[in-house]
This record gives sequence, C-alpha cells and structure tokens, in this order.
Amino acid sequence: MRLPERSVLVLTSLAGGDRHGYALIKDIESFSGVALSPGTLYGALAKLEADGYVQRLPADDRRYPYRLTSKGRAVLAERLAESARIANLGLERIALGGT
Amino acid sequence: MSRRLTRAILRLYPRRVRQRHGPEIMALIDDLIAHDGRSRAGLLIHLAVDGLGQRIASTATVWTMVAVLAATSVGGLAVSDFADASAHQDVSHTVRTLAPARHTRQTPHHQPRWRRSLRRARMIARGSASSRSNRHGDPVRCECRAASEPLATAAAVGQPQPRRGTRILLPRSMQLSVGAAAKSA
Repeated sequence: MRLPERSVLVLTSLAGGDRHGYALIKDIESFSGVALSPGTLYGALAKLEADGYVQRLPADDRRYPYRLTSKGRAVLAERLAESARIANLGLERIALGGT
Repeated sequence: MSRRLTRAILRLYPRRVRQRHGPEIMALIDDLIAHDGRSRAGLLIHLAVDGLGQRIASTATVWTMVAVLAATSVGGLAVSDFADASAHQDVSHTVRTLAPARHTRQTPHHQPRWRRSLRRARMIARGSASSRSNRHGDPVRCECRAASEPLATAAAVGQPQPRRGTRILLPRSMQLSVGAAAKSA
C-alpha cells in the first residue's frame, strides 16, 4: 500500500535520528513547512509502528523516542525514489515547455 | 480541568491509539503550550477533529471489511447455485440425448439418475440398446460398439460411488458428468 504523505514526513524525520513527538513536529515543520497536530502525528506513528516501520524506544519521562527500523528505511527509500522519478519527469516536461 | 477535557477528547480516538499513545499525546500538548506558546483551546479542537477522523476511518475500515465479506459470501453462493443448475441442465440434456429408456425393462427406476444413465450408456455401448435420435429428432451417433476405449472407461467409472466430477469418455453427444448426475440424484 502506498504510504500517506504524513507518514513519509515522519519517516523522513526519523531517518535523521531517534526523536520523540515534540522533536518530530519541530523537525518536520523545519524541513517541509507542515505543522502536524498531535493527533495526526500519533495516528501516523501508531500505523507505522503496527506495520513495523518504526520502533518505540524506552520512555524518557513521559516522552517515548521513536526509531526507524530497517524495514521502514527500505520502504522510505523506495517511496522517495518513486517521488524523485516523478519529480524529475515533471521537471523535464516543464523544461521542454509542454502545455 | 483541562487534563480531564483532554482525556475526554482522547476517548474519540480508536482504542489502539488511545491506550498506546494517550499519555504521549498529553505530554506533547503540554510541550507545545510550554515551548511554542500554542493555545490549549486550539490544540484541543485539532485533537478532537483528528480523533473523530481517525475513529470514522477505523469504523469505515471495519464496515468495509464486513461488506466485502458479505458480498464475497453472497457471490460465492450465487456462483455455486449457478454451477449446480448448469450441471443439472447438462445431465438432463445428456440423458435426453440418449435413446429413451422406457422400452428397456431392466432399468430400475429406484436407482439414482446417474446410475441409470451409466447403465444406459453401457447398454448402448454393448449394442443392447440403440441411440437413434434425441428428443429433438437429431440423429445421435454412437461409436461405442467399435471403440474399446469408451467401453473400458465406462466400466472403470462404473464403481459404486464414482468420484465427483469423473467424466465418461463417450462420444460428445453422450458425455455425462457422473458427479453432477449423482448430485442431482
């Protein structure tokens, strides 16, 4: 199944290192401009964890850091490669001046 | 008060999310208020909207699964009935294609239809009965007298309970499905 956009954002953020909820929101906002709400973030994390793409680490106070698994890394790489291919194709067509 | 309200809003979320991530969501809301100066009211409104969305999505998923299962079951039954009806029709046609058995005293009518059909086919193959025409008046050729393979095959199939779906290798006009005939009987 194709990953939703918000899941791609979460996985991309975790590809840079382990993060808990607040750090994820700030990181995603910094590189994409998207401000995820707490409910949206944890809805995505719950799904990603159930699919085995992320792993919850032991709690630090009330905050649980999350880590990208090898399966999640592979899925993210595949999804980003597909996005890059589409983006390149679109840019080429724009450069050719197609209508 | 606000914590109780937050807990109440969290009840909108699917249980899986609420139980696993409820305390984390509350901690995150506290962080966003403390570090970013976000308004609690706005965060709670967003929280409620997200919770409703996720609840509807998870409920819709369950109902979609129920609908797919129901449709599959009904479709399977319909196909099964159709196949059953088709098999019955095929056997009826085959039996009609064979010469009428009313002149043959040896045909015991208490036997199942598939056994009577098989018996009739054997008699035709031996030459003790003929298959001149079907009920539409079309000539029906029977080559069993000359060919040994159909005879042997018919004999092999003439077991007390032939396996379902076994086909007797007679000429096309006389083929019959023993399994379907047994079922219709």
